[in-house]
Amino acid sequence: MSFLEVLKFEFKNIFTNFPIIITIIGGVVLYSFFYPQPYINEVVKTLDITVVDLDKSETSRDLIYSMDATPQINVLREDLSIDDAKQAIIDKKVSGLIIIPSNFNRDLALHTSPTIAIGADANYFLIYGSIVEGAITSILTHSASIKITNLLLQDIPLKEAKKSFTPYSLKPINLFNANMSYTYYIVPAVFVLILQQTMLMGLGLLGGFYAELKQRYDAPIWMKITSRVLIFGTLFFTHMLFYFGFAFEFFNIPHQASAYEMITFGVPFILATIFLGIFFGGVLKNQESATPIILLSSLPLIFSAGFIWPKEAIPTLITYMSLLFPNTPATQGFLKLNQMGADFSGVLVQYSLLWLQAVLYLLLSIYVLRGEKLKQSSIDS
Amino acid sequence: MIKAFKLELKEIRDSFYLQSLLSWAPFVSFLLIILIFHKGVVREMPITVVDNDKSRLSRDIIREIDASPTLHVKGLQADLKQASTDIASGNIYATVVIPNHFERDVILKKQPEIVAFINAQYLLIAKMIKSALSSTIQQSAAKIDFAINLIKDGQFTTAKNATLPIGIQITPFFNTFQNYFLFLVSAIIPSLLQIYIALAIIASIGTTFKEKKEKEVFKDGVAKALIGKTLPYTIAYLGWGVLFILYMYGYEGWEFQGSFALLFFAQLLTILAYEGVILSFFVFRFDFIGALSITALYTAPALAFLGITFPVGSMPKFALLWHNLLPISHYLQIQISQASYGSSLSETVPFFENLLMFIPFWFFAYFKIRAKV
Repeated sequence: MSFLEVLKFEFKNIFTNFPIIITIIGGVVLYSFFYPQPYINEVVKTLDITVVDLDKSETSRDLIYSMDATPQINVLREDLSIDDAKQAIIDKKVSGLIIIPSNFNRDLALHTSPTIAIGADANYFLIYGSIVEGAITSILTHSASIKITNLLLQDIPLKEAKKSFTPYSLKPINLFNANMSYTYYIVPAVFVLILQQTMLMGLGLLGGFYAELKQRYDAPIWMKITSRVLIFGTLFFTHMLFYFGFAFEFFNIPHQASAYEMITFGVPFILATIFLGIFFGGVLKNQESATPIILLSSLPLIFSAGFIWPKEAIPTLITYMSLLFPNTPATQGFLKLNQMGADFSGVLVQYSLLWLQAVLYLLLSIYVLRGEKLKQSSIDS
Repeated sequence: MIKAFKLELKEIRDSFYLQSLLSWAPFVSFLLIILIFHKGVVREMPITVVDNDKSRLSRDIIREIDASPTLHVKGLQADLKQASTDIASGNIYATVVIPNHFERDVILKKQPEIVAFINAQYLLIAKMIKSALSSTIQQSAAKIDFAINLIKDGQFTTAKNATLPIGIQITPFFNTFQNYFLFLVSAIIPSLLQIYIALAIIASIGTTFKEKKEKEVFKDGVAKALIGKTLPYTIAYLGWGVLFILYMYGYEGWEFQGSFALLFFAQLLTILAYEGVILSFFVFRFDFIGALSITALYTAPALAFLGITFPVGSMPKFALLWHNLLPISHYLQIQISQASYGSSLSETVPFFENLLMFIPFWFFAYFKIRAKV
C-alpha cells in the first residue's frame, strides 16, 4: 500500500465509524457547552439565613439589617430558638444561622464583648464559606463603628478614634481570577482533560476497530502512525483553537497567552496524546473497551493533576504517576500561560515533559503495532 | 428468574471485562480517590514574604504567618517582581508584602496595610490561604492593639474588651472539621459507582444482543429474565455501596446520625434507577456502541451537577434539569440527610419519590425488548 492509500484507508475508517465520529466531533463540541453549565451564573447567589435574636434591642436590629445588606446574605426569617433555626437548615429552608445572644446590647454598653455565633451547613463548602464571609464582614464593620463610638465617648476626636480602630490590616489581592469565579477555576483545566480524553477515546475506538477487523491491513507502521497523526492532529488542533478561542470567549473566560504560545505548547500535547492513543488502541482487543477505560480514568486523572486539590496534599507516588499522562503537564502549562500570564520560559518543564511523553508513547505505539503486524502475518501463513 | 441469574453468572465467569468492572477496577479507582484526598486538610502551602521594613514587628508577623498550620513561609524575597514570577510559575501560591516604614507607621497610628497577592486561579487553595492570612493578621493586630490599650488603661479586661467589642464564634455544622476528604470523597465515590453500574449493565445487555443470544436469554419471559440478568450487578454494586458507607462512617469514623438500613435501601433504589435508565438507552436503538457513547455522556459529568461542589441554588435552569435527571443527585440528598441530619423516613420521602420516578424506565425497556424478541 502506498502512503496515500493508507491515509485514505484510515480516513475512511475514522469518518464512516459512527462511535468515532460521535466522540471526536459530536462529543468534543457538545462537552464544551455541557461541562461549564452548572457554573455559568458565575458567583454563588445571595444565600438565605435565619437569625435567632435573643436580645431584641435596637443594636441587634441594626446588626441584622447590616448583614442583610451584604451581597452574600439575605435574612429570610427569624426563629425563636436555636433548635428551630437548625431545623430550618436541615429542611433546606435556609443555608445558615446567626445567633445574637441575650443581653447583647447591655454587654456592649458594659464593654464585656458579647459573642455572636455564625453557623452554616458545612456539607456544602461554597455555601458555608460564603455565609461566613458575609457575616464576618458585617460584624467586623459593626465592631469598628462601636469601637469608634466608644472612643468618641471618651472624648477622643473622630480622626484619632478612626485611627485607633486597628493598628494595621491585611489587604488581599486576587491574582488571575479577581472575582474568585468558579468557572475560571474549573473550566480551563477541564477543557484540557476533555481534549485528551476524546482524543484517546477516538484512537482507542479506532484501534479496537482494527483489532476486530477480519480483512488484512498490512501497511508499514510509519504510514499508519503518520496518517493518524495527520488526521487526528489536524482535527484536534482545530478543536483546541475552538476550545481556547471561541469557547473561552463564549464563557467570558479571560486569556492572556498569544496564539503563537498556545500553538507552540499545544504541539507536544497533541502529539503525546495521539501517540498514547495509538498505543492504547493497539492494546485493545475490541471497540467496546475503549470508552469505559477512558470514562473511568477521568475522575482520578482530574483530581491528581494538582489544580482542584493542591499537589502538596497528594501522595507523591500518585503525583508521579499522574505525570505519565499528557493532561497533567498540559493543564499546568496551559493554566500558567493562558490564565496566569507566565512567560514561555515558565512552562519549559511542562513543555519538555510533554515532548518526553511524545517520544515514549511513539516508541510504545511502534512496539504494539509491530506486535499486531506479526500476529497478522502469522494468521496469513 | 433463577435461570437468567445463573446464565448471567456464567457470562461473568467467561468475561474478564465484566469481572474487572465488578471487582478490581472499582477497588483500584476508589483507592486512588481515597489516597488523593486522604490528608483532608490543606497544610503548609508555600508562600513568600517581601519584607520592605525589616523591623522587629515585621519579623514577628512573618513568624506568626509561618506558624499558621495552613501556611509555610518558604522564604523572603527582595522584590515583588521575583515574587510574581514565582506565583505565575506555580512555585508559590501567594506573597505577602510588608510595606516600608511599617513599624514606624504602626507606632504613628497611620494604619499601614499589609498586602497579600494570592493566586486565585487555584480557587480552593486561594480561599484557604486568604482566610488563614486574614485571621493571622487580625489576631496579630489585635495583640498589638491590646498591648497599646493595656499600656493606656493598665487594666487587663478593659484592654481586652476595647480590642474586640464583638466576639465571633463560627460553627461549621455537620462537617465540623471542614474536612475535604469527607466533603469530596463522599460525592466522588458515588459518582464513580454510578459509572460502573452503567457500564456493567450496558455490557451485559449489549453483549447478549451483539452475540445474538437474546432468544436464548429471554425465551422464558422478558420480565423474569431482565430481573435475573441484572441481579448479579444489583447485588455486587449494592455490596460496593455498603462497603463504601461502612468505610466512611465506620472505619474512618465520620459522624453518622441516621439509619444505615434506610441508606442501603436508597442505594438499592438508586442502582435499580440506573439499571432502568441504561437499559432504556440500549433498547432505544439496540446499538451497543452507540448506547455506550450516550451512557458516557450521561454519567461522566455527573459530579459537577450534583450540587455538592457547586450549589444547586446557583445553577441555571438547564443544569438544574440535568441535576434532577441523575438518580445519584437524589441519592446524595439521602446520604447527607442520614449522615448529617439523622432525618426520619417521613422527612426523606420526597427524595425516595424522586428515585422512584426512574422506575418506569424498566417498563420501557421491557416493552421494547418484548417487541424485539
